Amino acid sequence: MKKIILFVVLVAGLNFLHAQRVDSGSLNKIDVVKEYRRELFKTKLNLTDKELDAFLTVYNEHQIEMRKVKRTFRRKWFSKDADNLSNADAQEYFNDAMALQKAEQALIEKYAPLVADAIGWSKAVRVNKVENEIKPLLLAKANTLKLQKSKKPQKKKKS
Amino acid sequence: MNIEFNKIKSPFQSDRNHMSELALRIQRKVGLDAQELFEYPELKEPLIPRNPVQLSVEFGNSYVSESPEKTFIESHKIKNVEPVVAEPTNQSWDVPSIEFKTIPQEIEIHTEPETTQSMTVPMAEEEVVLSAEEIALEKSRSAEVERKRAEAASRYAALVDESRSDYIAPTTQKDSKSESQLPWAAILGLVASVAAIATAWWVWSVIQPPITIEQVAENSRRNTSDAQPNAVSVAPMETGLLTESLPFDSQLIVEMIEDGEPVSAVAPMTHFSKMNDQSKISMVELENNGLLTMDLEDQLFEDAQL
Repeated sequence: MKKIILFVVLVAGLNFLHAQRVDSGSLNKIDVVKEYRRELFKTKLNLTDKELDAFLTVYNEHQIEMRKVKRTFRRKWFSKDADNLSNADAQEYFNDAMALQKAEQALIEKYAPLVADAIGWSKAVRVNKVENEIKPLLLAKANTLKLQKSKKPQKKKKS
Repeated sequence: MNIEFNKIKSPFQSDRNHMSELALRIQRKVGLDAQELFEYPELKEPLIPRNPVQLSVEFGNSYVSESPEKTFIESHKIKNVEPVVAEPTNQSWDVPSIEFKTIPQEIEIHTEPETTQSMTVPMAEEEVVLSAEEIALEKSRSAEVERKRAEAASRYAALVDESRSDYIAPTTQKDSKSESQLPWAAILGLVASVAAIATAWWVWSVIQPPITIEQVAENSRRNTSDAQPNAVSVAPMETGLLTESLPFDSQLIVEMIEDGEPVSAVAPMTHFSKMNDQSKISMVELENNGLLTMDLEDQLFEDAQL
């Protein structure tokens, strides 16, 4: 009887470990894409490992700030068709788009010197072009790896 | 014993008549009857008289009765008999008409030794001899005793059967209880067997046999043969001229070919709303992880990128 119980517990443990491996599969895929992105930046900008680490530290922070600004605009206007807006909505859309452009320009003005400190100005001015080149490659890599939707962390309800 | 030794001849000069005469003389001197020697050769112990002796005759036994008071004793026959003081004689008497019942072994009642010994006490001939009527009466009483014994035996057998049935009943009850309960041991064993099969299948699916060198070579040969028709051979000088005139997406593809990356995996970078489901999922996941930022809102200022 004890042997049977021990065997069942062992099988349950193995299944639990297997499930952990399956759940961690998507994280491993993201890590693969991150590594692929590092290699692309390193190759296209011709960076050393030290320069790459310093550049990615600044560039990732810039991307997070940019994403925050763009998401604010996107939440308001993505569900609407920009080609069929009323006059008032079109004016409001224009004002928000200009504000977004100004915010993006401000972020560029803020982080460009930091990027230049990390990799130099000659490479810093090429970052936007390399970024546009990398995007489809990252998408293709992600499609190849077949990324799956990750579960959103549940937000605590405000009482 | 005054035996005249001078009259005894030597045994080496045996004479049958002489020896017979000698034996008779010895028997006569001792007080034994020759006929008695032939009839009871096993009687060797001398009879010891007891004084006084309560003569009591018991027919059958009382052990089959329900109580000691109902014990069947021939007491009325010996009530008027006065105690007889037996004289120390060397004679014993035959009592052919009296039957002594043996005591059943399963009944633990012991009689007094004097009672059994009183049967062997010699008594007067006129007191022992019974008439035919008395013998018939005794036989009828013996039959009654036998009947009572049979009844008691039947009651005893009934009690034994009842006790056996009482003993068997609980075991049958336990069996019914065990049948009504679920066979947890069997269920657990079945579950363990299924789990073992599932585990074996999982291990078998996870563990793959090692690839041999011949298989590796065959796979590499197939990959090269499959990629050969689709390979684009472009001269380095021509590449530089062509890529500048190609659109941006095509330039990326050319770069990927030069870098040796798979071309089929690269999808043209289109607007998010025109992407397939997998591309949409990938874009969202990449943005959530901070790897890129989508340009959904840049329709108005596509050419304003720095």
